Amino acid sequence: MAAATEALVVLARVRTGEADAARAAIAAHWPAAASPFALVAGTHLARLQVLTPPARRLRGRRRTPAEHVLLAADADAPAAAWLERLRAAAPGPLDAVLGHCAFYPGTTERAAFARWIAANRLDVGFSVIGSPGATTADVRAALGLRDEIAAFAERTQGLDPTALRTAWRDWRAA
Amino acid sequence: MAPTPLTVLTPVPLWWAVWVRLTWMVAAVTGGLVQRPLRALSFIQSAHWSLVRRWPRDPAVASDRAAPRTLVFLTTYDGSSIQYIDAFVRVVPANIEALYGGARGFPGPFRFRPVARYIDEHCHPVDHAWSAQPDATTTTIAQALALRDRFAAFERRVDPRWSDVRFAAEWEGFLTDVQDVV
Repeated sequence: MAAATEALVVLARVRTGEADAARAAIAAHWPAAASPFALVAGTHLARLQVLTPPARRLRGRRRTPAEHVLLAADADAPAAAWLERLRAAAPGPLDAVLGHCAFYPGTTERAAFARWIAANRLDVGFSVIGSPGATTADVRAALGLRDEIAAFAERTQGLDPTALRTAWRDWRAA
Repeated sequence: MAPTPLTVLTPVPLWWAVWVRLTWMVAAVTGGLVQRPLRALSFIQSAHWSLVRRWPRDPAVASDRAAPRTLVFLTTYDGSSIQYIDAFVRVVPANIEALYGGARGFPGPFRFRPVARYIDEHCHPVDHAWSAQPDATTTTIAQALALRDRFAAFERRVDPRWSDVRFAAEWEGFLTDVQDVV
């Protein structure tokens, strides 16, 4: 079965001294209650965060590495098309956060944005996905159908066969 | 309850990075055999592992020598982190050993507390996370997809020439048949 979902993982270096501003931009432009990811069709799961890589010991001393922005998503394949929808749907919120990253070109130019993402994109080596064969539309439709079936079963409980058949025809014709 | 996102960064030596890549190549040719026990845990919405050889990856930016090779683990799961880690330790310790056995400071996959402490020390707070179905668990979604397929099969089977009594009996049978996924 071909995977309907593709993972996108982008790690981009934050310019020195701008990590707190990047975090503040996430808080201001990516509110939990009104996530810009909700505007992008085909998004299963997505996250955005500022993180510090682990530190390597150099000559016995531990130096703090530069902070990075992590943008990751599980989206309907292909990820390139999802990324373009993200760019079109959330240019302001993207620029507010990724604008603190090195060499970020902004969302205005589609090709430059795609090139920058490609340069910072990580290959995913191994994945486990709950329902890899289902698109977001498949999942939404299946959950809706489950509710419809449960509601139909409940409201037709105890009906005689003729009334049940009529209700079935009405439901399926609707 | 919305699913929980977790980001864990683990430093790994070069030899272990080579090994991990090898295991991924093996996993890729086994047609999902390696993923099966992890998927069977049925609370993983998604889990991805990547290796960062160079921080950052963009060659236009100077390499940060303070950051080592790193195994990046991004996951989103249902329930609590305690259940998640406990299931990993109990059900798939061999898979965890294959991924983390050579990671710096990894305590081994067989005891809950050291693994929980290790994850706690290496996880990074997620500033913003979003889920298309925040109220649906992995199991709920899998069941809904299975129900969709079984319902489609039932609907194809429904014959307009059936009597009402026959239809009622078939519907009853269908409901009994899908009890495990409704």
